[in-house]
Amino acid sequence: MDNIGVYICSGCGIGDAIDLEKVVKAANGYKPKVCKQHEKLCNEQGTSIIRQDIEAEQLDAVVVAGCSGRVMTQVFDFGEIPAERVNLREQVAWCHKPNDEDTDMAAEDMMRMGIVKMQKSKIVTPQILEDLTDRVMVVGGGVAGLSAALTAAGLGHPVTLIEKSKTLGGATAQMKKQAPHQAPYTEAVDPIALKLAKTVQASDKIAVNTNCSVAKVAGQPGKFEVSLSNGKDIKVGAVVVSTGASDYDPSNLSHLGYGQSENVISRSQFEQMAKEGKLLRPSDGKPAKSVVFIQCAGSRDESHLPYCSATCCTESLKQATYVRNMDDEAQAFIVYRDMRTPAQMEIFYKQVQQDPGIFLTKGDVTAVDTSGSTISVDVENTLFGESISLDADIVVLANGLVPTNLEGNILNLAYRQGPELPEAKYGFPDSEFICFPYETRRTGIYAAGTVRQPMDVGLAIEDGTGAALKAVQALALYSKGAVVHPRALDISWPDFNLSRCTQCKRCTEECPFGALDEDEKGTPLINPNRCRRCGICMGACPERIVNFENYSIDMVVNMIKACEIPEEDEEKPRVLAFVCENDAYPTLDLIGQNHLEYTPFVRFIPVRCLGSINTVWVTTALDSGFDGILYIGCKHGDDYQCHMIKGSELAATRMENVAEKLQQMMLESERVQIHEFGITDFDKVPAMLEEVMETIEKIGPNPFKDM
Amino acid sequence: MGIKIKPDRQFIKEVMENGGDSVKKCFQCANCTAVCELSSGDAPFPRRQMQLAAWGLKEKLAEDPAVWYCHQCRDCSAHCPRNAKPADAIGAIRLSLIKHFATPSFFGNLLSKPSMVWLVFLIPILVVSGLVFLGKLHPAGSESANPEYAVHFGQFIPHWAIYLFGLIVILAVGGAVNSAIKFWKGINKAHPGDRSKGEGFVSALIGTAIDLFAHKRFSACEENSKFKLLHMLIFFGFAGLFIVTSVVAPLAWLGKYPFYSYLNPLKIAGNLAGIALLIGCIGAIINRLSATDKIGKGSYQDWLLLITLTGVTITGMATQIFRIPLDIPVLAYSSYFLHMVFIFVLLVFMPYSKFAHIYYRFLALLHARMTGLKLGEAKVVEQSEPAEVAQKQVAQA
Amino acid sequence: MTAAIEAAETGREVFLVESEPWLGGRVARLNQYFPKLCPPLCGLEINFRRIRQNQKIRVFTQTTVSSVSGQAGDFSVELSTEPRYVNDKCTACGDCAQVCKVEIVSDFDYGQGKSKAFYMPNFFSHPARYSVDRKALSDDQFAKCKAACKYDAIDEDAKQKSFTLSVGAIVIATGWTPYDASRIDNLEFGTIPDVVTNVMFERIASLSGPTQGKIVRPSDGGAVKNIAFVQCAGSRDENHLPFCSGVCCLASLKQANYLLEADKEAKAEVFYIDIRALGRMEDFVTKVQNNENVTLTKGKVAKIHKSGDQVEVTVEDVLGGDKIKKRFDMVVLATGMVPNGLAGVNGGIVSLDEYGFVSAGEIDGGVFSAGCAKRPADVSTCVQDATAAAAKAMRIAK
Repeated sequence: MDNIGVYICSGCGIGDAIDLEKVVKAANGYKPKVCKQHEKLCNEQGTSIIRQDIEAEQLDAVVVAGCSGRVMTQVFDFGEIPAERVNLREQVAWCHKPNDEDTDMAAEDMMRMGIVKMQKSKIVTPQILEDLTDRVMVVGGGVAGLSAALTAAGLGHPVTLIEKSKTLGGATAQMKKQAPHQAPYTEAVDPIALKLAKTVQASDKIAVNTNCSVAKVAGQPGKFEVSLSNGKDIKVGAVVVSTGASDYDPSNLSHLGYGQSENVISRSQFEQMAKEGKLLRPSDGKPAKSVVFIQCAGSRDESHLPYCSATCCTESLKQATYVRNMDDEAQAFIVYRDMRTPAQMEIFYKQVQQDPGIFLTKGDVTAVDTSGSTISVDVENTLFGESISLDADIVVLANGLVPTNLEGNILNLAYRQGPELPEAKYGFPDSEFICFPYETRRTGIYAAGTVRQPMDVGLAIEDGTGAALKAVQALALYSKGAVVHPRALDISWPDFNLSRCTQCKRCTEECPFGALDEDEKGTPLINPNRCRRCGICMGACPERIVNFENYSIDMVVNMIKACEIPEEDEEKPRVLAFVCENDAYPTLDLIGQNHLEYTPFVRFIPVRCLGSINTVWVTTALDSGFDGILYIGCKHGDDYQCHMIKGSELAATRMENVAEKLQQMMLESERVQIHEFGITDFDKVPAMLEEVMETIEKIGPNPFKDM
Repeated sequence: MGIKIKPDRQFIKEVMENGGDSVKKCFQCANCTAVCELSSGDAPFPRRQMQLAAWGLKEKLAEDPAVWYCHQCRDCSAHCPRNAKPADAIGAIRLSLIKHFATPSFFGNLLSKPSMVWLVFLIPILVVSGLVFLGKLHPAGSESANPEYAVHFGQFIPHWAIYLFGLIVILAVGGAVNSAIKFWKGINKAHPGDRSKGEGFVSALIGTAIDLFAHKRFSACEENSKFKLLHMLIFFGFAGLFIVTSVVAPLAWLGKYPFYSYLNPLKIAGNLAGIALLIGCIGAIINRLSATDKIGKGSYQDWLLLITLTGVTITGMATQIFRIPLDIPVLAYSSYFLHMVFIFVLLVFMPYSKFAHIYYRFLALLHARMTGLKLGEAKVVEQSEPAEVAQKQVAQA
Repeated sequence: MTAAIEAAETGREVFLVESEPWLGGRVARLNQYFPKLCPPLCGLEINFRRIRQNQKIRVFTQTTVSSVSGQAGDFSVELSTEPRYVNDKCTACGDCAQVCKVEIVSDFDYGQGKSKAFYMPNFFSHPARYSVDRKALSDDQFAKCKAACKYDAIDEDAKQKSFTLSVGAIVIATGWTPYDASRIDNLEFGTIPDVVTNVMFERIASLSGPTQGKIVRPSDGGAVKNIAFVQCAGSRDENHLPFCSGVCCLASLKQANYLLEADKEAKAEVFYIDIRALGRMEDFVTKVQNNENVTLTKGKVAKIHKSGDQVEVTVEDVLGGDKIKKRFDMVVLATGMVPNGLAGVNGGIVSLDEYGFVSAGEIDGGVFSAGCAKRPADVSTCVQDATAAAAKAMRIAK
């Protein structure tokens, strides 16, 4: 873009701290169409000047130097005309020594980078794929799936519902009763799944396929091509996976007597027995007068399921009421580790425990002796202050839930990165995000219900409903060529210049969202609607063939080159920092907001993700004389905070390549460092930068500086 | 392997009927134990007892002296997060245990069921009527009648018949002793404790008695401050009357009666005690009636005891007044009749009613002293030093 | 915010009505989320960005609902906005606060710290505009601050405004208020300064909080070597909140971690009835519990006393079999959630359960509840729930 207007604001202390004449001079070096100063650019007068210029001077981009782009966003929104915000306020005036040569130099460099960025950017035109469908496919017809189907249909979308078994309703529909999912929470109710299934069957927008599974899913959001096991081929736009969870295999629980005696049964077996109407000992058909429920049978156990299956406490309470309602002489014992009936489910707990024939104790089951005519259950760490032993006609193991994702073969994605949703832990699929639980790593595919995490019926209904909205939302966004979270509404897209591709497969391997497939040769096959626009492929590509119209290798290379590097003898070192725009950039703003001071020798370039940093930027910076390079971004590892899931992790692993490059250039490895901060760790950043400057001082200036 | 657990559903039902209807609401948070000023480090209660009761483990509770440490101040009920009313539940447990220890057990059943209340009073009515009838058959005792008065109690119920009544009381006391021995053996077996830490029998006996008289352990209760005063009035009122009666009875035996003057020291003592008892009882009734549902309005046996005590006092007073100075035979005899009925209920049914807490509690506290249990004191735990923790871990490893 | 953003990103027009001067609710005041121990401001920042760049969302702060009429698909909502006295010309430069001499007790810090009467409570506040406690300032003091503003952003004549919006559906996401711990009389909150609530402790541990993130004793600023976390302080209690507040167990474990991160030798003891950590949250319990300086003790604390310059708690160690007294430098009460309820959306349209939670709402009703207004829940669950509520609302609001 050539017709650029530059506007420099002197308000909020910017003019007091920085010699803006120098900044104007720096800007004019790039011959902008307009370059103006204003004392409060954000007020109506200021923005109307810009608007007038856009009209009169036919500007195709503006550069606004003033406050951070994180504030006054809508004030400086000029519609089609992109506005680059040069952050002179938070990241220069408020955090560097006022009226200092070095502060001015920082402002000048930022001005230059801002203008170059716009010069090297192109107007973004969205890429809208053809033949999009608005059909939503829901895989799994339990409460979550039924809720998802009803929601998507209610929002006007045609729905295909796939259910493996012959009837809809899922696990809870098989129950005699389900635990309450809404007020008054006092007693078990008829399974809501049955009601939902009826409504689904009555809907003319929902095509139900029972006895059916998904044979293959190819393509991308908006146009998935799905083959079903019943021979049908359908096209769907988005997918909700709600295949639920299976019971943990009780045959692994022989230490609790399963398999040792017919009278030790799983919770589903007991439910079935209750549904059939008689609680009889499987061994001899005699009525069960004493039923012992063992909680956490396999759950919360490192050698079985390390997690809590969430529903078993409530389920056993419910099943204890069966024992009592079917035979007043019978009694039920529940041995729990912690009674986990959160939120209003506490009310149900309170109600059930009042039954004089229901007995509860905390405790650890140490042995289940099946040798006698009745089973003997030994419990220690009880509430009695001593170990106890219970006689049982039937022992019910409250065995936990295992996500069906672990069983595989749910979606059979024809994706280069594998056929199913990536696993987060223990077989539960992503997301690991607390704030954005629906952001799975397979765009347009949303998991809901117990396949995603153990949950009760009430939550599964809401989860299915929410997942359906995300599916519908993805379709709405892709119809406009925009992407989904975390860069929602972004219409930019990565363009692969495949003629220069060397089939190294880095991009196809590293894309956190599995967006890229490969042809036989290893050339990436691009699925734009699977892409989340993070630029990690851009960072991965050694041939630098991946670029966005408004975020490209060339753009950043030129921004780096735009920085003026003082001669070595001036003793003004320079460090270039690539900062994650999601967290690190706001952190820098915070430093300014809190008026903490730090070294003015660092130049910051915001990046979509640390993973999008291409090594060529590093070499360019070193070539142009920067003494050090920093990557500042989000934490990786188990508790990663990277918004692109693997970006900061990849950046860290790519450091090995960078180290190699440094070696080739005969440079010290300390010159390139990666630092991870939480968004509120602003107090630690100045010290880190100071330390970096000390290191640079120690190892001396970049030998390429004056070349 | 732990102890074999077999819930006694009948016992749970009993506890629930005896005022512990909320016992199953308990979810074992242990708030009650922490809040209780009498509960102590080594012998915490009532959380564990609530669990034992909710599971119907009567035998365990029978041998647990802690059940008797509780003075029913209701601090625990006031703070109970589940409205399980531990105080009422423990009270109910005590009643069920009184029944459990009762010999013969028929009386235990009789006294524990509100539906049997008619029989509780019918029996003494029949007995006293029998005495009156006997008096008509063998009118004796008129020899001591004062001709100045129309009322002659000796002619209504002859003195020898009264001694017969005394004999029945003594039999009842025998029953009580039997129960007490069973209880004592039980707690000592289950909780032998460390006698070397405790006091000797005599010293413990005296100490316990002093504690009881001083109402030492009532002072700790926060929730129910009136409680101590009322209990003292009842306790000392009853004790006073009991002593006066115990003095008068042998004197009467020796023919050294009657005492017509209200200024007679024994009479003064008796009346003072009676007034104290009456105030205490009425106060306690008001206290119970005005108690919130949360704290609890008391069990059937509470009320039975209170009404009986009140009945004894009021009829006693009335008997006295209708004789001197009013001297109205019909009213005096009616009052006397009722007085004897209440006395019967109180004394004869003692080992089978709440009244029995007097000696169970005494024995439990005696046992505590003898085993060196410091009631009402939590164990003070210091924060361990980091080094200690590390050492412990090394040791464990 | 989630309900608004999800609906707007699906293409619907949304009005977001907030009674406070800024968005973010309770989580804006948290230091970290469990189980990832990440800063809530990270997700908030993303959501603020999504709101800033989305023209379909209109945000009304300091605004409450006066009444609602009409029916599903066609509601008329009367709203009332309190005067902010700071208009949208505010650049958040901070000059007004610099000049302002008057300090107020910070509600944002749950009364623990002070701020200027012109203030922005958190690092990232949206909208990025100051607000003022007008009542705390005399006309004269107010005028001085106004004079300091170079941007004409302070408006002394701001008035309360009433207006009406026509909407198709309503989502109630009014959230919760911490239970008033002073009502739990035996726990001595309000009488012993070193007994604080979990939300207060969250502010203490926050860099933006009253102690800049240093964990010190409120009474004397002294070092904190050990903390007792008292669970179910009000929750699961018929005298207070009969339901379980769902998040406090994990929140306390998280807060124990704050202490141990700050001081490796410090100790935390959590007194609980049941540790409730569902699903994979169990991992977090395991992780924290593996620290040798964290102890989990089953038993509800019923008494708290001052003991020297420490605080003594009385509790039955249920599994240990002792009734104990133990002294700590500080006690944190895990107080629960009181649902904020309908907040002006009049009844008849949607109902409250007996604890004050807003029932989910049938599709036909056009009014839906989400988050802790409906059921005590952690952040993730609230986000799912809000997404679901947005979906339901969109089915009605055509």
